[in-house]
Amino acid sequence: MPHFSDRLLPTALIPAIVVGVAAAAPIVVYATDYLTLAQAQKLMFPDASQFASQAPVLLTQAQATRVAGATGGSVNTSQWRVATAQASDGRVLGYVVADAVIGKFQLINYAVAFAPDGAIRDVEILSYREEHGGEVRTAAWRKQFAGKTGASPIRIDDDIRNISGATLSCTHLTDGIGRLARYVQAVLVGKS
Amino acid sequence: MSLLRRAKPLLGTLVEVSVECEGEGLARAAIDAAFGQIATIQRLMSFHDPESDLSRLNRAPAGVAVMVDPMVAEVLRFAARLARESEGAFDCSVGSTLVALEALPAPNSDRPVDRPAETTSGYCVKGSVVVKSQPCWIDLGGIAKGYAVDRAIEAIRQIVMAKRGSDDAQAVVNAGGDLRHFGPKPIAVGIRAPAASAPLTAKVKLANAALASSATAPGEGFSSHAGLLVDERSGTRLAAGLAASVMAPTCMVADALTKVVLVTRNPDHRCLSRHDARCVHAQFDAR
Repeated sequence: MPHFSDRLLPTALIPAIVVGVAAAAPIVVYATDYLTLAQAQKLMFPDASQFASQAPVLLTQAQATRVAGATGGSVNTSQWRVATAQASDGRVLGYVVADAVIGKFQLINYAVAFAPDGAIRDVEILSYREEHGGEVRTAAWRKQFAGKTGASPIRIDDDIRNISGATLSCTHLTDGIGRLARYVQAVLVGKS
Repeated sequence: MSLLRRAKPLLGTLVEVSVECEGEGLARAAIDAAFGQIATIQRLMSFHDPESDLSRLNRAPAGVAVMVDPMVAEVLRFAARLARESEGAFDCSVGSTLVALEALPAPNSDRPVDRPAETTSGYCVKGSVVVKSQPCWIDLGGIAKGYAVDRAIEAIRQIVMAKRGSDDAQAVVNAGGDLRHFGPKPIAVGIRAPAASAPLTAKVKLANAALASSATAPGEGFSSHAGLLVDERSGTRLAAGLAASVMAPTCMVADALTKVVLVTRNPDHRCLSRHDARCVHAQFDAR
């Protein structure tokens, strides 16, 4: 028999959108740093002796179209960080590309490891941030704060490290990984 | 004590594994084993992957014995049992309904015929052999995530407990809100309403137990396939804005029972006490 501790329930269930209610539950945002890019690189290519950073990625129109893939849309390479994992004798062991995607309410930094032939080897999340005043601005997000005052401060609740609710979908992340894979295939593979 | 946390995109969501134990090497090995288990389960039970055991089963005609991985058999066995106990409120043969609603891609096989509402699951399992009793497409989206969390916790436990003096080791595996904890220190988990990006509706303590939440899309402005849940008894999709969180000894049980609560709109459904579970939060009105 499992033992369940007493649950702590609020005195009243808080509706999703509180309008003009003072002393409402604080807005809790959730953020975690998992790995620095250097840690992720080391984890994905433990045998590499160095990671050679590439210059910022600039794509030709034709390359950008290929990278965008079937989903289309514009490809923003300004935040990509591309590195080649090299063995001590200079052999290319693969590539690590870091990027960030914006979900409905969150910013996810991630890194993908590729084999020399462009096959995806691994994905690591570097950091996860829920919006709390800067990175992401959507109408849906702002609507959450309609009527909120200083009585419901936005804060990170250190006591809560886990949230359970509607399952977070990672469609944006999947799309992002696909773009990076097409870039590695189209631009890096065979050029080393 | 070393505390390590890592996250990867798996099971269609973000899976976070956090381990606290004696020695960083041990924590890293435990995390790798946990992710390895989850990746294996994703490979076996994905509806989308034509190579998965589940897809092989979905392609098989009724009456043909299909050998599946023991883990797949275990999930199917529990799913069948819960379908019986809940009189069809939980049903993993919802594949054809979800395909009809365009929430899932059609497998490359005969489309199942409409079957009369009944309380069997459309297949039977013996050991690791599954036989479909009628054409049906099985989707484990309502249970496999919880099962993967359980297997990941088990993998961590085996690794850290093999080391002497690991009595104070702690771990949490959280697959997009379906999570399980083990260790001496309980954790606080916030429960968040589906439409909300921030306010927490409740906070629960979790001690060597699991918590899972399910919700239908909050309604306005959300993609129609996110949070799509159906009542297979009537073949209809559930209304928007429903949410349920269930605590149970295992995450598979918690995950599956959230569907029973949502479909029956009964947070005290007898299936919960039968499986030592309870509903800690439920919302049946769109807000």
